[in-house]
Amino acid sequence: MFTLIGIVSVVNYVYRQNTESTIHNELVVAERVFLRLLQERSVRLIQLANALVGDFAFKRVMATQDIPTISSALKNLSNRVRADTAYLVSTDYEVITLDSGSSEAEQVFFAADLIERAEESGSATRLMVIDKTVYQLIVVPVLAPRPIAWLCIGFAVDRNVLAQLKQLTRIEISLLSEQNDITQLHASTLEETDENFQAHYKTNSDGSFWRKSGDLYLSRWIDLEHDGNGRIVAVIERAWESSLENFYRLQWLMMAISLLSIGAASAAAFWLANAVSKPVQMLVQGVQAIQQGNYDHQVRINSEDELGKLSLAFNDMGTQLLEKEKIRTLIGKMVSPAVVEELMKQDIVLGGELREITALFADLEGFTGIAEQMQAQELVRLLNEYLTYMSNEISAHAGVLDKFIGDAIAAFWGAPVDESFHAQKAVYCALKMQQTLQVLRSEWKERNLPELKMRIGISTGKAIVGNIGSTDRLDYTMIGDTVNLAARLEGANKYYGSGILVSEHTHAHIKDVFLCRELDRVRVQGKRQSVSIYEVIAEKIAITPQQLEMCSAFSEALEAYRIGELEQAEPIFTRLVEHYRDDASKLYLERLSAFANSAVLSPSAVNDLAKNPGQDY
Amino acid sequence: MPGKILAIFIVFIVGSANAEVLTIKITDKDGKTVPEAVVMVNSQGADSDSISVKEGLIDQIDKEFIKYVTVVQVGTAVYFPNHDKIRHHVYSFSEAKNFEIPLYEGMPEHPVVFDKPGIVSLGCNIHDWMQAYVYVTDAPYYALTGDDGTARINLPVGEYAVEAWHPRLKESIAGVRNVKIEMGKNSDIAIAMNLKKSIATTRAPSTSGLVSGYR
Repeated sequence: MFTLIGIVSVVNYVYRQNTESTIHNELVVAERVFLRLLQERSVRLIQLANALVGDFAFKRVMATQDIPTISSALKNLSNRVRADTAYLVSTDYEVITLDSGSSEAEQVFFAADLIERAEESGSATRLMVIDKTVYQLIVVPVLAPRPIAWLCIGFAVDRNVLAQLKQLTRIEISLLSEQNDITQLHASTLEETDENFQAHYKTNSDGSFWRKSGDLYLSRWIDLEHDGNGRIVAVIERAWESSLENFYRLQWLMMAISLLSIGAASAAAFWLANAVSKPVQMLVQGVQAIQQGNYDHQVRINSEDELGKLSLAFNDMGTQLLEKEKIRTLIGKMVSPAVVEELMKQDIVLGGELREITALFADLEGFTGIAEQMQAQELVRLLNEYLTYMSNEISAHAGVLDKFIGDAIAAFWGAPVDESFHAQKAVYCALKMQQTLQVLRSEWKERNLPELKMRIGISTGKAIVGNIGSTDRLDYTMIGDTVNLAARLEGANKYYGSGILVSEHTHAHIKDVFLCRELDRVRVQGKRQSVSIYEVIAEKIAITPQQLEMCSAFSEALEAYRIGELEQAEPIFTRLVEHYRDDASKLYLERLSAFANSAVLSPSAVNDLAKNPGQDY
Repeated sequence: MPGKILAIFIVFIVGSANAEVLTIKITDKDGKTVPEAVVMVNSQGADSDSISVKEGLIDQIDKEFIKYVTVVQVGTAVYFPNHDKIRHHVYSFSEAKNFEIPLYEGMPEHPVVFDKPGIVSLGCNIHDWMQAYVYVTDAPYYALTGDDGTARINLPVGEYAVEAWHPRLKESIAGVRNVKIEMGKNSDIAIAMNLKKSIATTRAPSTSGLVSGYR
């Protein structure tokens, strides 16, 4: 709107300027036209006069020198051309006669200088005021065949002549004479009779001036004739107001247009707001909702156009994001978040890598039996509670939960993210799991739930880890001897009555941090290599003196057993059984007695795990 | 006609005894030579034999008067033969001779006798540009300057007054000069004239190519 006002003002100003300069130009042109008109008129009148004086009869009349005859012949002549006045002047510049026949004869002609000019050029013309009327005087010689007299005819420049000019140019014109600073009006195309003209007006740089007389006029002087006595001038002018008529019309039109366009613009803005801004706003809200995780925010735009389509697409997107989020959460529940992260980061790829990992297997003692005694719902609830706590611990220790196999848990450390302390973390985790379970046991006891005991087997070594499965269904899992060993160790806990068993490889990594005791040297089924197994007692910084004592005693006894010093070993084992109710020691006592009853010379240093009955895995 | 010319010739020869040549050169104020100027010589002393030719001729050929200026003595009868196929209407409103020969062809019946001294300005009524002058003089000796602006007159010894005239002369007469003709000596004088511009009608284009038209 301000632009419009600005435009209107500028156009206003420019048009006024334009009008003024247009009028001025018109005046300049009118001046030229008027002067040209007068000139042509003069030329025509001279030709007319020349034709007149060719009249032989008139020459004869002149030769008679009879003044009255000459005077009437002159009048006759002047009537032929409708001259307003006529004089016959002798070659000595004396008036011979007038057409009016008045007694001005024998006087020196009042325009003798005009005759002189005619002598020079063959004819002459000028404007002159005679008795309050402006005449165009024409002087031509009467040739017979040399000049015998001068004919001077005069044509009044009256309103009709001026009207001719006005007809051509639509300019008002007034004829004035100035003498001694007195201005006299002789003829004018203007209607009002009381036109006042001063002698002097303040003119602009372009020569025009403003004159106020009723209307305001833009005017211009034209100098027509001047001599020692004064001058004859014309004033050409145009009324300002009438010139501006067009302009006012334009102004009104512009006003109307601008109002219309303001109206149209407002309507357009309103429509635009409805059609575009609001839907866009709704979309923005939608995006913000999604930013905040609110995927089921629906954007409702009902139009058929692009925005409507956009809103449909947007809603689709929201739905898809929601699904993806659900899937992600679901996946996160099935697979460790660390794995998910890793999977998200890389492209999903089959195959894996050989890495050094620590594998952990955990199982509940005699769970099948317990399971049979419970309701399905109750059982699942309990199991889930247990599994939740345990998997939390695994996550807390930066481990990767591989899978649940019924009540068993498989986990690993050292993949997919590099972990230098994978063995230690695994063992920390195992200890924490046992502690947590202990707390849970007392809780469950209060709830009349069965007592659950957990066995954990941990092994460290190279294994193959990766996304194993088909393209549609992947499992990020571990495969290898290390894994098998961990599983076996988990089962072996039952045999040794231990809670956490680790392989010697694991032991090598953790022995500085945890107090362990070597229990046995075993060979896994199908393998030739034997491996020592250790029971994890506690963190070294948290051990009790009893635990320390028991460990050192056991290791002494085991040493003796292995080198065949059975008499030395036996009492220690017995004491350990009595003091600590140590199942491992009990086992060795059984072995000792079995050995004593058999014919074998020395007890086997290595025990085959597979041979032990009652083992379930 | 031939008889008359012969007569003039004889008279000239007879009259040229004891005659010297007077050369008169006429120029205008700017120094340009003035052809067709009339020179009149009046004797200061006793009247001498003057040549008097009593007949003159002004032709009309191809819508022009031939010649433009003619000098005749008072009492000369001038004929105006019309050699054109169209008629002419010769007139003059001059005080020295006011006459008309309206619309005639061939030779008019009577010549025009110029019986008063003065300047007669001739025109043709139907052809505005046709103009001629007859200078009627009572001087015993007269001549016209040629294209070189000079005239030569044989004069017997004596004292004379010389005057000149031209159609465009501002005054009525130019310079009265006294000159003394002596035995065996040719004299010459120069006269400067004050001339005005001519006013005339322009002529329609000529069919014959005769030199004419307006000075």
